[in-house]
Amino acid sequence: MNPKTVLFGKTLEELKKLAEELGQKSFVGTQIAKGLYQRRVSSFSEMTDLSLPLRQRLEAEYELGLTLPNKVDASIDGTKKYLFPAAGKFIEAAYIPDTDRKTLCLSSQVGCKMGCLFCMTAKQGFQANLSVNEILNQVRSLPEGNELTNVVYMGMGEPLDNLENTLKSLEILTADWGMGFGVQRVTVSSIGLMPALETFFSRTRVRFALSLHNPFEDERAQLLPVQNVHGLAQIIGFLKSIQDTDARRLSIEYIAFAGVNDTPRHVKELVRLLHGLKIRVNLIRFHPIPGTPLIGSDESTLVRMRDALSERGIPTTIRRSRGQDIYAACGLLSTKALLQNSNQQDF
Amino acid sequence: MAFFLRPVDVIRLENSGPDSWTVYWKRNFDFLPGQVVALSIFPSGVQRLYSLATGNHAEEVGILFNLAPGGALTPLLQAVRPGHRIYVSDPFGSFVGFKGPAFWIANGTGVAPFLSMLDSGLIEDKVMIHGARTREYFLGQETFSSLLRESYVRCASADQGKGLFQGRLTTYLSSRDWIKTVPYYLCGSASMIVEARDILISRGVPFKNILSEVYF
Repeated sequence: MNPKTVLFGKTLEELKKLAEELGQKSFVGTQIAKGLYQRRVSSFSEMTDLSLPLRQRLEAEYELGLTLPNKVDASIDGTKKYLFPAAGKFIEAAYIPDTDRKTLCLSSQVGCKMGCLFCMTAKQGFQANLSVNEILNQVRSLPEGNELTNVVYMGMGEPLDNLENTLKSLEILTADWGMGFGVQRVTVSSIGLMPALETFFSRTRVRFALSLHNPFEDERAQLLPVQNVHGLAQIIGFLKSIQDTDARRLSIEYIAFAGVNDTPRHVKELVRLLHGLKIRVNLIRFHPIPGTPLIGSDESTLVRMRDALSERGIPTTIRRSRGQDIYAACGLLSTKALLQNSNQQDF
Repeated sequence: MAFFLRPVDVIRLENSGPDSWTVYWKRNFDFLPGQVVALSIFPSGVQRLYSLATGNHAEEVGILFNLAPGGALTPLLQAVRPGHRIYVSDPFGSFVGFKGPAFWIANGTGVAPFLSMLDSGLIEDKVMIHGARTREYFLGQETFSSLLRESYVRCASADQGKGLFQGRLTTYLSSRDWIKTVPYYLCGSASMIVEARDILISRGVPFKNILSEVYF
């Protein structure tokens, strides 16, 4: 028996086409979209704006495709880390409540190919791209899903390495017919893959955060192997080229490592690199991972960097660490322990 | 949006190993050994990045690829014949080789930049450590063996025999001490790179001496 087609994760265009294939008018696709994404139905029978025969047919031939998390870890600071089954494996998503905002940090891949030296996800290698359904299910099936104010693509994986599914998920997440998040409430973080970055900017309006971590190209390559192919000059050049016509907020993610990227020399180069770009910098505390040769910068260095950058006209903040005790903080997400031994590669 | 590509005509397609092929065209640019190009079958089709696998003075240049059944590009690339037109960007990237001692560590088609470095004359003081499942999967092994001789190590995770280290590449790395003052070039799958890099760091190699290129 063929598996039922999953509807949650389909775009409006896809749902309209589906409606027509079912012998319906295309507006029925809009009705289905509103049921899936706005009314958050948990069964087709709740789509009472559809005819009974259509609901029965949907029930027989399709499924919503919602998957609840298997496990939750709760931090003393209120952060929760959810484990979701996805792509035959597992992914993690972090729910981060604060006084004025409730943020979900979601994953876009199982594992990651980028191999960043400081990241726990990198240590499990790459297993799979998440489908649109699996990306958005983290929002929809989160127990606190109704409370969410912000969504950030900063969990496991590199969103621009799963470009089409990331773009479709953003379309559904921010569309009026979809989940209705304002574009200023959604941020995608990337190490900057070209030309995927150009496509991302041409097809979305959500915010963008560049994982930079070192302004010197040769030193950045020691932390982020992808720098060898997708150079910083090209990425920053592109961001500068579009800022006159693209008003979305840009930010830099910068994990500070003692003696590696936190010296006055680095601050000076960062100022030079970002000159002419309307952008803010988030300094991030490093959360050590097993076997790392890196040490996080101390508090006084972080403050000195923040002040030095701010004085030179680059608004800079030090991001508060959240969920460190449950390994939900930045760079700590990993489901390596849950992978089967059969995933070991032959080398 | 994509890389700007120029048309080139395929000279030949060679079978380089099980499921692996090298496609050649007349060299239409200068490059540094280790650099990559974006390539497509069509002027505006799906593009992928590949390391050049040939020397930078050779008349022909080529890229090594694994056939990915159901993939968007390689099934079409594997079907090209001499005279077919493909589309290639200018070379770019900073994973480039230099004269002087270095360790090269690779799996899969991650050997490509090292084949280019060898073919460009970067032979002296190089050690190549190569990981694969069985002996037929050591792509480029004839070239590495003939030019690097005893400085070429094949680690076979599921094979044994003369000239093979029986075990995973990472087992080989874990079983030895490593010089801390020379550069280590790692190229291949993300898993291999992360594991190999962790081992080298645990054996005292500074991370600043480790240069990696992950194959997507």
